[in-house]
Amino acid sequence: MPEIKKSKSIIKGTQYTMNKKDYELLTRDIADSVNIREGTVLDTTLQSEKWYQTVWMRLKENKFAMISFYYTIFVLIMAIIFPLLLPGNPTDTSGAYTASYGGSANAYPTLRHPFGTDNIGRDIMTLVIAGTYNSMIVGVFSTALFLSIGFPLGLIAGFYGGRIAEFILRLADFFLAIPFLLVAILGIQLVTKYGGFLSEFPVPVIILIVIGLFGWAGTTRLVYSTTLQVLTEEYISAAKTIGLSNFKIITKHIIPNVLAPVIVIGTIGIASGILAEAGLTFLGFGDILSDVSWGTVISLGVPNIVLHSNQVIIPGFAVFFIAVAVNLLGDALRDALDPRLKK
Amino acid sequence: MELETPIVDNNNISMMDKIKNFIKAVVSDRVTIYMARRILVLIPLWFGTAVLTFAMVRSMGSPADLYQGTGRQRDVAVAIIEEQFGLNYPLHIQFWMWLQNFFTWTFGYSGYFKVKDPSPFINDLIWQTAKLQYPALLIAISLSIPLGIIAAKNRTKIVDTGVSALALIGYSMPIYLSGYILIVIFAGGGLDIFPSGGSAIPNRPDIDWNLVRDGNSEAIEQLRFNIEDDLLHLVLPLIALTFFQLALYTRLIRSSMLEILGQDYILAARANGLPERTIVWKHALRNAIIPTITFIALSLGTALGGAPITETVFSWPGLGKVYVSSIFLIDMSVILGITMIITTLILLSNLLADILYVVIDPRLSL
Repeated sequence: MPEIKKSKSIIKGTQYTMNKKDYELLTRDIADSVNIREGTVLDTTLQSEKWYQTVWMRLKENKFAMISFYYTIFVLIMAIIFPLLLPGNPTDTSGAYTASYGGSANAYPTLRHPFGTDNIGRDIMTLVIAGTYNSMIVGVFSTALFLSIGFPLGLIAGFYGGRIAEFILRLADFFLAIPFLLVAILGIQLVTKYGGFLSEFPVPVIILIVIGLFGWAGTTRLVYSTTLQVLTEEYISAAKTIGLSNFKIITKHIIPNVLAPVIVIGTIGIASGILAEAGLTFLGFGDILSDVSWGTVISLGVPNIVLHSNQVIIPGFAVFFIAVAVNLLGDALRDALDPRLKK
Repeated sequence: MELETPIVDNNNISMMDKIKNFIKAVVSDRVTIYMARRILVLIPLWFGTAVLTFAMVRSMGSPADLYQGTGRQRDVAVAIIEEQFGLNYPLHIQFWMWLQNFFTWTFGYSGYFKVKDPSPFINDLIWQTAKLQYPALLIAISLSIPLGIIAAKNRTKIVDTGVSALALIGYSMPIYLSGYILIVIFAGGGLDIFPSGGSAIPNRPDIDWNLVRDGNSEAIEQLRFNIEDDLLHLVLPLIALTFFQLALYTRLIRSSMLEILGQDYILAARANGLPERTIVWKHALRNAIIPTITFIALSLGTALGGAPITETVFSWPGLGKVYVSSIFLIDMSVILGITMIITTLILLSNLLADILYVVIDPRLSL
């Protein structure tokens, strides 16, 4: 005689008996349907597998995403360990005095200087490698800064609503309405030249602070609207019903579910931070001789562009490659986080 | 308060009635109240930006600090500079004076142009920047709509991969790379087809319109030469800018088109046997274009503001280039003037985007 289990049917109130095999089949069906839902909704609170493992699995299928991921990691490592790899100081101008070995100022690419030298005799390959440092600092930390301002503000506005939300959203409107690049240029000039003790900071730090302080509004709006969407979900009502505190609801249920668009906007933010750093130093913010940055290398090469286009094009491509890699990674992450767009 | 909502029966009404109903829908009470609220919000935003910029410029110190010299000569020069810029008044009076100057379009003394009223120069700068930015926007939009749609229709095929790759390159490539590549290839030491910078050859004679109207052959020749010269100078910056904006719009249209093509009503249209062309170009495009149109409306304002790097690369005498130079000179009237012109445009284009939102998308609850 097989064991008989009692199970409550979906139809309310009726009970019926079923044998063990049927019961196992039924539970497997339910488990499958839950899995299907997980696959489409990515509700992180339901999943048995950690969400980042799923995302990583999906990301690994994308060949270009993996190439750009490894390139980004490579540049990040370079930015940290470049002093160990380079033979000397990147601002060393002694190349200008050793003309006999394929050196000198404005040298064309040779084995000694694979990317050539600039017009004061610095080796451009050394400068490009050393430039990763400022570039990555601005890219990563400006993103960290604007996320750490924009993300909590958006969460608070979305969760509490009312006057707080109104205030935060109007503030975000204000920061969205000001012409970002113009005010950023003004702010950087203000701090670097007339900022008192603040002007002691290196220019990249000032650039990243200005980008972070003026660039958070978009994130706030995004997090706000996503939070509003998440709040209509049933699991939030369930969490409220069983009496979880607001803090618990925000940290356990809302944050994991609004994280996906924030990861994407953060990745793209790194790329735009890198582009902004190079662009602003190109415009002439920062000391053109002592600050090693891709933008200053480009702007120093511009007068020689007709005969020595390598001085402009090579650092330009350095900016371009890392920007492409990070943007590609952002696109792939968005596809991996939003499985509805899966092929 | 009860607000009237127009009820429109779309089935058998004439074209005239359709237009009437449309106007009724736009000018109904709730839309008017919504618009009035949006316009009222703009005013504090405008003043906020003005105060912020004013505070930043004034805390940069006095332009007199940049004067190099000593002794009595310096004292006299500083006194003159302070008089010219109105620095010896209290701050709120200075702000008020600047506001008056802005609204009468005189801006106040400019150290960059060295004139009391730089408005003719600023008008010219606006014209120069607009002449570069708006054609680029127009070309980019008109190319990106078919590109985005074709990419979305042929999803995961080679066409889509190509368009997506182009878009990725376009918006990752900084203008100081694409611009200088263009300059190296087509100008200067390269093919030397196009000029490498500027918006016109130096000291070009102006056109006497009266002579042109009279049919003076010399004046007409000059006019033809000037137009050719303008176009030649426009080509390279236009290509660089268009490439960047094309990438932005193509991505936007492709993604919104993909979202719409996955909707149920497209499936219903397919099931009803509508031709694919009608589905894509009529049913899907009309909805996919909504985010794009609001984005275009926003770009109309930001187009003038995002120019400093492009204009530096191509030595284009526009708002952005002069803005950067005037910051190094602490030229308060020009900095504030340009910032507030662009802020005004951005706010107006925000308003335009809001209006378009209401007009295009009837689902929107105000």
